[in-house]
Amino acid sequence: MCEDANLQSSPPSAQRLSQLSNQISGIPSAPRDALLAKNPDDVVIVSALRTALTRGGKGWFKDTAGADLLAGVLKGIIDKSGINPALVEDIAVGNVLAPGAGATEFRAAAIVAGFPVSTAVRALNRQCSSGLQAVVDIANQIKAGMIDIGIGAGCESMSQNYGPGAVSEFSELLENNVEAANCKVPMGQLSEQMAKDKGISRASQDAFAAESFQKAFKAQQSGLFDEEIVPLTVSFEDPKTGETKKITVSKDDGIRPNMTAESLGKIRPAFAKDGSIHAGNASQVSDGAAAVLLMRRSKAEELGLKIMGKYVTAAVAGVPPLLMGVGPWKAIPKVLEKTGISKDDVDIYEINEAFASQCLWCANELGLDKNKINPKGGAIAFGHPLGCTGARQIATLMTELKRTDKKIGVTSMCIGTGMGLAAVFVNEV
Amino acid sequence: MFSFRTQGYNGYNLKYSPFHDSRLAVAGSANFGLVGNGRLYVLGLTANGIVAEKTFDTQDGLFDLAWSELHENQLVVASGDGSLKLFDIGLNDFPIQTWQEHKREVFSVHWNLVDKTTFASSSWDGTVKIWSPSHPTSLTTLATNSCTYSTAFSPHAPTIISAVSSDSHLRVFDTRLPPPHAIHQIPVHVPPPGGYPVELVAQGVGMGNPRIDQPNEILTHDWNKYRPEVIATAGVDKIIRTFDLRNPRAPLSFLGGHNYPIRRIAVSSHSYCR
Repeated sequence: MCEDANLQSSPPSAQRLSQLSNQISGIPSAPRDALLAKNPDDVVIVSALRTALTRGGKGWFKDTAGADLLAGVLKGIIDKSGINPALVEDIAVGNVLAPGAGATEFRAAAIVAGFPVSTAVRALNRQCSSGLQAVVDIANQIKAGMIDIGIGAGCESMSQNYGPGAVSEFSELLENNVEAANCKVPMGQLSEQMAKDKGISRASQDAFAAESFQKAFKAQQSGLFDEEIVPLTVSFEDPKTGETKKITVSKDDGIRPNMTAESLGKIRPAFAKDGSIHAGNASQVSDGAAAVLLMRRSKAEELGLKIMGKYVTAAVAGVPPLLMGVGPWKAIPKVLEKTGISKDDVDIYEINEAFASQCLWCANELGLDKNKINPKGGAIAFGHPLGCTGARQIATLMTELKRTDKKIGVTSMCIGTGMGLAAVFVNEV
Repeated sequence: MFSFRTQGYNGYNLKYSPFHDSRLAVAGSANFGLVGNGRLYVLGLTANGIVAEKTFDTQDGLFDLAWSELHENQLVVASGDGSLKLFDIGLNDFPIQTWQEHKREVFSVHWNLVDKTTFASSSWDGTVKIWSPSHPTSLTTLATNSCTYSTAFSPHAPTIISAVSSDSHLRVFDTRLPPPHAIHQIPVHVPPPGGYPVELVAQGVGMGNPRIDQPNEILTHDWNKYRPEVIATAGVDKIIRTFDLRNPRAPLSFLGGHNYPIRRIAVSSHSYCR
C-alpha cells in the first residue's frame, strides 16, 4: 500500500504530501539533454558543403558567375549525400548583390546541377545573413509540413556584382527620417564610428584579425577545410598572360601565412585618417557558394541517409542601423533563451567576422570563451561572400563539431541596416 | 481563446460531457490537493466565454471525475477522503449518492464506455473498485496491493479493466474470471530484449533522475481507441511506453521528451496511432 511505516502516525495531509512529492524525483532533464534528444519530427542536416572562397576581382573564381558556383555546390550535395534529387522539394538561395537576388539564374543553376524541374527554387535577400536565412526558411517549411526535404543555400559573386550600385537610392521620404536614412550609411563608415564609440582599440582589432589568419592558416595546412569544400573546375583568365585556362579550385585563396598583430598594425586605415579599420581587420571581398541539405529526421531514416546533425531553432533581432555590428550580441542570447541552454553549453560559436571590431565587441560583451569562437578562423582570413556566408558557416561549424566530437554549435552574424540572426545546431556524428 | 480561472482551486482533471459539446466539468482541489476543500465546476461554453453553470463544494480535495454515460446530468467525482460522490447538476449543493469504501485517496474514476451501467475507481489503498450508480456498495473489488493512480475500462470490451500503480506494474483484469480476475501483471520498466535505446538511458543520469530500467511509479495510462490490445502508460520516469497485450513482455515503443513526471496521457479518439 502507500503508507510508510514512519508516516502511519502523521496527519493525513503530511502523508499525502509525502506521497505526491515522491512522484517528482530528480530534477527535470537539463535543457541541454532536451536539446540533444532525437525526435522523429526534428529537422536534420544530411549534408553541408561549400565551395572554396576566393578573392573578389582577382581570385580563382573571378571569371565564374555566381550561379555557376551555386550549380557546383548543389551538384556536390547530390554527389556526396547520395540523395535522389527528385526528392528535394524546394531550394532557397540567399544572395545579396545579384539583380533580383539571382532568382532566375539560380533556378537555372539547380537544373544544371541535376535537379528535375519539379524541384522548386527561390532566391532571398536578408543581406549578410541570407545564407542562414535560407537554411532557416527551409527548416521552417519542413517543420510546418510544407515540404519534407529541402536545401538552404547561399551564393555570391562579389567579383561580378559588387560595386557602387550595391546600395539603392533613397526617396525623399526615407531621407527625411533620421533613423531610416541611417540604413544607407556605408558599412565601413558606421563600423568605424561604432569602434570609436565603443572604445574598441586598433590594437585589439589587429590582434583578433591576426588570430583569425593564424587559425585559418593552420586549419588549411592541416586540411581541416577539405571535408567541407566541393572542388570546382572553372575557367580562369590569367591577368598577366591574358590566357584562359581550366583550373580546379579546392582551397580558399585569401588565407595568408605569417600574419601578426604587428604586421597588421602597419596597414593604413581605410575609412578615416585616424580610424582603426583597414583591409586586414575587416572581412575580405570574396566569391563563393554553400548549401545545406535538410529534411525531417523520419524521412532521413526512411531513406537510410546519414545524419550529420540537427537544426534546433533560430532568432532574429533588430538593432539601431548605425550599430548594425552589434546584431549577434542581440540575437545570440535570444536564440539561447528559446532553447533554454546557457552560453556555456555551446561548444562552438561561428560568428561572422564582418569587422574585427564588431565581432570582438559582441564576443566580449556576451562574455564568450575566446577559444570557442571561429576555431578555424573567419571572414577576415578567407572572405565574406555576402549571401553565401550564412550557409558557409554551417558547413564549417558542422565539420568542426564533428572533428572535435563536440555537440552544440551556434552560428550568428550581423546584418546591414541593423539586425542580427543566430541559429543553434547539434552535431550527431 | 476562452479561459476560465478556478480561483483558489487547482484543477486535477477535466472532462467534456458526452451529451453536450458545450459543457465540461473540472475537479479541483484547494492548496494543490495537499490539504483543504474540493470543488466540482460544471462549465458552459457560451458566446460570452466560459461560465460556471454550477459548482459543488466538497470536504476534501477532488482528484478526478467521470460523466455518466447513461444520464446527461450526472457525474461522479473521486475525493481525497476515500469517497466517491455522484452529483446531479439539476440539483444544488449535495451529492445524490456517496460511496465510502476506499481507505485512502481516490485518484481516478472512469465510466464504462461499453456497458455504460458501471464505473470504476482506483485508490491509494491498493484497490480498484467497480460500482453501479444504483447500488449502495461496490460490485467488485480488484486488488493491486499498491497505490493505484489510474484505472480505465477497455473501450472495446465491457468486462476488461486496467490499472497502473506505484509498484511499476500495469494490471489488466477481466471481471468474468473468478477472483482475483487478473489476466496481466506487466512490469512496465523491464527493458526490451535489445535493451533501452541508449539516448533514453543516458538522459539525465547522475542528476537524481530515476533510472528508466528500475521500478518507478506509473501515474497514468490509456487504451488505444482503435487497437483493442494496445495500452500506453507514463509516470515518474518521464517516458511514455506502449504495450501490446498479445505480447506484453516488453514495450512496443518508448516516447521520451518530457522534462517532468507525466501526470496524464490520453490516446487520441480520432487517430489510429496517436
